[in-house]
Amino acid sequence: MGEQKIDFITGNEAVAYAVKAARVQVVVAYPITPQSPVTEKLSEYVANGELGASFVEIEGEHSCFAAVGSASGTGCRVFTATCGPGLAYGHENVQRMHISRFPVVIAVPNRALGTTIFCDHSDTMAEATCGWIQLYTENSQEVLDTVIQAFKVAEDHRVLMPVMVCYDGYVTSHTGETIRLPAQEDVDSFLPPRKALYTTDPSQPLVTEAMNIPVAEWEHEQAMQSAKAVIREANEEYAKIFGRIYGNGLTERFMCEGAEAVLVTMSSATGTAREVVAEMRGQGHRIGLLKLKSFRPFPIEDFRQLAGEVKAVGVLERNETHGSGCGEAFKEVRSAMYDASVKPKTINFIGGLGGSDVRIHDVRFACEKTLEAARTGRVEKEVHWLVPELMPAERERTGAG
Amino acid sequence: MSMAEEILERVTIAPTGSCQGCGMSLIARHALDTLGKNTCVVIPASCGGWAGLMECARSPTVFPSAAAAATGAARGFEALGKKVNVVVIAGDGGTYDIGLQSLSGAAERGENIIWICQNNEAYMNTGIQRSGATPRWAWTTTTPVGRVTKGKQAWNKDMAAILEVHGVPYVARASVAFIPDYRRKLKKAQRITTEERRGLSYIEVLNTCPTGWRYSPDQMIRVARLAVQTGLWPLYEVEDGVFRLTYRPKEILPMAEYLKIQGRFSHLTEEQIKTTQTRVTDRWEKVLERADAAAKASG
Repeated sequence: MGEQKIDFITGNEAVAYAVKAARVQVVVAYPITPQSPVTEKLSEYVANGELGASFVEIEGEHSCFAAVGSASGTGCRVFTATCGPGLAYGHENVQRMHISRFPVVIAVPNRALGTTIFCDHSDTMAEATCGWIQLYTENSQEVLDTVIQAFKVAEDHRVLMPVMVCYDGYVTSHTGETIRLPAQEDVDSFLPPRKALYTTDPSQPLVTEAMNIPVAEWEHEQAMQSAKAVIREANEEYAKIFGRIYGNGLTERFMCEGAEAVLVTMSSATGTAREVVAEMRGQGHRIGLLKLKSFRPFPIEDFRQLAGEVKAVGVLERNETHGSGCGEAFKEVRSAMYDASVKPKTINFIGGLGGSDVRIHDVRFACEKTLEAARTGRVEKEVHWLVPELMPAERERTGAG
Repeated sequence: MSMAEEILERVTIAPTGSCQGCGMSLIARHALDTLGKNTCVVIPASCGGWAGLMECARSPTVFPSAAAAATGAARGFEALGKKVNVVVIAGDGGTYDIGLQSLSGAAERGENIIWICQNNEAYMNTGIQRSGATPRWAWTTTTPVGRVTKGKQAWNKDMAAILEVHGVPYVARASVAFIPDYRRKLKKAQRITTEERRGLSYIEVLNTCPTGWRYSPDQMIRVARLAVQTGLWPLYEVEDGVFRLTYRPKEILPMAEYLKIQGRFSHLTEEQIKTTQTRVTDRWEKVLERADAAAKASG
C-alpha cells in the first residue's frame, strides 16, 4: 500500500481529489452553492493537467444531466456534482437516466429545496424514486472514499446505473477535516479503467431508451437489488487496500451490542450521535446507533435483522414529506420491519431542516424517547419535530428530555 | 433499383411512421447517407422520431437537452480518441423554443456537433401547436382562427441568424426541394465539425408539412420549392462569417402564390398578404445585398 498523505481539506476538496484519483474522463459541471468549490477545484486540476479529462462548462443542470448520460454512453468514466435547486432543475434528466443504464457518479452536498442555501436532505429525497443508487456519507473522509467506491459500483456490470454520493452541505462540504488521501497507485489498482458492456459507438449501432418498457423497469430493480452485494464488496475490498471500512457498506452499527433501543441517523448527524450514544452508554443507557448509508438500494435485510434485536427504533432525519406526516427514511425503516415476527416500536425525529443544526441535545432527546418506548412498549407521540420553536422551554434551556 | 431506393434501403426502415408527404424521411435519410455510418444521432421529441432510421447509433435525450446530450456524446468520443459524427436532428420546437438554451450553450462552447433543424413551423408531432418558428397569422391548434384573433399574432424568429451571431463556423439553410444543395451542405458541415473539429455546424431545413400546413400531400415538393422561389426561404450558407447564396432563383414569385395554396393561411386578408410580402421582399433584398457584398469582397 502506498503512503496515504494526511491533509487538512474540506468535503468539497475531498470529492475533487477522489474524482481526480478515479481518473474521470469527462466532467460536466455547473456551479451552485455549496457545490461550487468542487467545480472550481476540478477546473483547476484540468487546467493544470493534473486530471486529463474533458471538462464541459455546461450552461445549466438540466443540460448537465443530459450530457453526463450521453458521455457515459460512449464508454467513458463520467462525473458531475450539484445539489438543491440544481438537482431539482436536472430532474427531467435525472428521472430518465436509469433507463439507458449508463453509469455516472454525482456528488451532492445536500442543500434544502426552497429558499435557503443550507443543508437538509429534501433535494436528494425528492430524487429517491428515480432509479439511482443513493449513498449518504458522514464526513469528508467517508465522502472521499465513497466517491472512489461509487465508480466501481456504478460501472459494475451487475449494476450499471447512476450513483449519488451525498454529504451535508456546509457541515461537510465546507468544513476542514484532517483526512487521509489514498495514493494514486492504490486507487488505480482498486479502480481500473471502465470496461463498458455496451456503448453508443456507431461501430455497433444501438438504440438506447427508445421506450421505458415495463420489463426494463423490472430489470432495473433486479440490478438495484444486486447492487447491495456490489456495494458490500466494494466496501470490503476498499478496506483491504486502504484500511478504512464503513460498516457493511449499506449500514454501519455503533454500540449496538446489547442495546434495547437504536437510533438511526444519516450523514453528518451520525457524528453528533456517536458522541451522544457513547456518553449515554457510559451512563448505563442501553442505546445504540445505526448509520443508514445506502438509502437506495434500501437495506431491508439489515433492518429485518435489527427488528429481532431491539425493542425500539428511532429515526432521526433531515427531511419531511409534507402530507405524509413523517420523513422518508422513517417510512422505509418501519416498512422494512413490518413483517418481522417481533416488531420494535418506531419513532420519527425530524430535525436539521433548512440548514438548522442537529444539536447534541436534539440527539439526546431522540435517544431518550426511543429508550422510553423500548422500556414502556408504548409510543406516546409518533413524530417529533426537533424545532426550537416547538420545544418546551425547559428542554430548550437545559437540553433535558 | 433507383438511387433513391438504394438510399432508402441503406438507411431507413420503410415504411416510416411519418405522415404521407412529410419531408422528415428525406431529411434524415440524406443526412445519414451523406454522413455515413460513423454517426451517432440524437433526436429529441419531434417528427424525427418517426423517421424510421436504421443502422445508426442513437444517444438518448429528453426534449430540451438535445444539444447537451450531443455535447456529452461528442466529448465522450473525443476523450476516447474517436472521430464520430455527432448529429442532432431536432424540430423547430427543440431548436427555437425548449431546446434553445442547450443549443446556445453548445454553440458558445464550440461543441463539435452537427445540428440539423427540420423546421416544419409548429409542433406537428403533437398535433400542430404553434412554435417560435410559426409564421405570423398562420393557423395552428393553439393559434386558432377565432372571432377576436385569427392565427398567430407574432412574427417568427430568425434562428439561423441567432446561430450566426453565436459565431459558429457554419450556418446554412436548406430545403427538401433542393436535395443536392442540402447534401453539399451536410458534407461541408461534416468537414468543419467532425474532421476539422472547429465547432458546431447548424443546418436548417424547411420541412413542408401537409398535415399542419393544410395542403394535399402530393404538393409537398411544390410548396417547398415555392418557399425558396418567393424569397421567403433563401438557400444560403455562412462559413466562417462569409455569406454565400447557394441558389439564386431566376425570378422571384409573389408570396400570394405560396400562401394561397396552404389552408393554414386561408383566412389571411389582402392587407396581411401585403404585409407579409413587404417583409419577405425587404429580407430578400438584404440577402441579395449580403451576397453581392461577399462576392465583391472575394473578388
